[in-house]
Amino acid sequence: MDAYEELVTTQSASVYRLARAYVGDAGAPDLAHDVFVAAWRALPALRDPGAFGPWLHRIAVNRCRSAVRGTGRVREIPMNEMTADTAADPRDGFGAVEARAVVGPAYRRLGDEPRALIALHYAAGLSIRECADALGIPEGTAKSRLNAALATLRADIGRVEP
Amino acid sequence: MTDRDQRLVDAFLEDLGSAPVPPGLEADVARRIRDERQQRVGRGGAWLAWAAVLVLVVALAGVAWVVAGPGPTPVPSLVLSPSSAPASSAPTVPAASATPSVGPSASARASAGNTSALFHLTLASSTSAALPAEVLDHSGMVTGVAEGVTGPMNAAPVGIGRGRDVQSIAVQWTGGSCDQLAEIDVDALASTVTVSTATMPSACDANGIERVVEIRFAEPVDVAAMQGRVGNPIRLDASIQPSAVAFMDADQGSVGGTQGNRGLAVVAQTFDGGASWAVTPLAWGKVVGLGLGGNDLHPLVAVSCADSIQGCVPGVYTGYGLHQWTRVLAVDPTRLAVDGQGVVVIEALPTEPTKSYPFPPTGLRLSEDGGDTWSTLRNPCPAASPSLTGVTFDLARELVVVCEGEGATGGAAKTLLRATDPPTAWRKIAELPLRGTGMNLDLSGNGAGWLWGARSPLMVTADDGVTWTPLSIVDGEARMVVAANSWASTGGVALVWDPDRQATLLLGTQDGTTWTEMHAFPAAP
Repeated sequence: MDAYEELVTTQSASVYRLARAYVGDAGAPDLAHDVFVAAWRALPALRDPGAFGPWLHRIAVNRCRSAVRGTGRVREIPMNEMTADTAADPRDGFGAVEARAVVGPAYRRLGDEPRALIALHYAAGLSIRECADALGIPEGTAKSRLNAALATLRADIGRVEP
Repeated sequence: MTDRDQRLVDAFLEDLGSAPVPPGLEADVARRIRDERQQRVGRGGAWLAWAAVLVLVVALAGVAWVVAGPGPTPVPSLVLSPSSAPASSAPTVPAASATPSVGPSASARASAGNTSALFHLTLASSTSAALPAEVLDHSGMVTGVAEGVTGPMNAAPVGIGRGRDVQSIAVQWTGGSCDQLAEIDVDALASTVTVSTATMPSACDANGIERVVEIRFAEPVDVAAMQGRVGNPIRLDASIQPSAVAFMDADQGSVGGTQGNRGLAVVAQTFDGGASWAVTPLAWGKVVGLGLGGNDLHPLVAVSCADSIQGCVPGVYTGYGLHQWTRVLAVDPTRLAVDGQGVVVIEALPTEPTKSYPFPPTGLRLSEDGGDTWSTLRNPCPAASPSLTGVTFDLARELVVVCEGEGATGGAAKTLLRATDPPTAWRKIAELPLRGTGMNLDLSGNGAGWLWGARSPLMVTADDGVTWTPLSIVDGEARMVVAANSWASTGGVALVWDPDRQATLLLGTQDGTTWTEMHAFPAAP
């Protein structure tokens, strides 16, 4: 296994979940695949090897944005249409399917950056600092905008799309 | 919001971060990368993985038809040389070495086109696979491109995909009283590429409009021979007049400038510290800013129409690996700075192409997503120095601008301002008691940065812009800094006009004090 394959292994869960947050279960494998290949092709442009993680996630977010705009190879499948386990959460009675059905539309109505912040932090598991690096914004800005994104998401639940 | 809603949001967020990776994903990626690696090795290319592009630019100046008219075909002429080498009008036939490789980008430029074959390329080895390539219009004046036809054509670019053998592409040029047809035959089985034009009556006056078409191969192509056969010389154009620069390190970077009398904006890219360059055309206009940013450090180029270049379309363009240029901001820019996803532009008033625009510019356009979306910021300059002339990001990605007062002699007031984050307020860093006008700056980190302009030496700061001291590489009068870019706290590059050599020099430094000449761009004759 070469060095890049090792990086793929360590980052695959993060990139796959990020892709899934944008295009759902069906499209996420292809999109994650595209991200890793695109990053491999762009490796010569990476200035600081230590910044591989944020750099990879920048590429991933960009590819995901293209996908949901319909300009990429992989198209978005709404999260509430995704196939998923239907097991209820034993703690509170809410399963993933219900959460997706109710919260998914509000999540998709978020703007580009709020959606990216939520996807990077909650799906990809990046810290606020890493989210900021991936999006090229200051850490404080990332934190405040993530909070604003969550507030918007909560406020928007249940709104009927025109 | 109810407790139920809150729990739904929590469950949603937890679901986002808990999905298992499907089996086989990592193996699929590894397999794909091994395949690509083998393809590249198989083609014998020594190039970097993403830089395998061949660009042929054929520009046809219609005026020459009228001047030259039909007549005996001159000696075939094609000059292949690094883009920096002086263009030669001497008839030569080309290909530099026994098995020359076409670099990531090569351009051919025709100054007249009243003849048949313009350009002929023979590949080093025969191949049974078609060449993946596409034809793009850079002039905005190609009215049609289609495969294998010579009649009316569609306007869309054409891809030459794998699995095909012979491709014939016809390109319809517009302008003047007659259209001209150029045919590009790509025959992978015969390993040849031919660009030709139909013979045109001398009455077809194209009114001096140049036409540019690009043939771009997606993968490395080894070339055994290249021959040009054209009425007047067809050559790699050497006359780049650089006006912007951005480097990632001492070896890799780009220079933006114009090429040719009419002003074709180009980006020249090097991976070896300026020893060799790949030149890619962008649009008609003048490059006033260049940066590397976005998700994968692709170039962002600011093209201005302030010089009233015919056919100019001002704006900020992006190019992923120089493969395709997209205009992401439709304003006439005067400056551009890039830092990661942050892109900022000083704009002139909204304009129409081919017109000149008022000065000073009215404000700033800011993108925080690599150029996808933009917001407008008002001009923050104080009344005593109202003109925005320079902009950059500091290490904390806060905006810093240079404001200047009236007076082109260089004695006007200058103020440095830094924005808050988000940029809703500005605070003064320093009043600059400096000579010079049209000042621009670049802050690299650790408080270090450069400031330059007409009639000014290159100034350096070590305290985040509060105080500045001159560097000796320019005198600020005859020998002036055109543009500069620092890629580390002390390392960077500068474009310096040298009146003695009549050339713009690309100078590089690692420590901020010792400078070496990386390349010289001779002035156009």
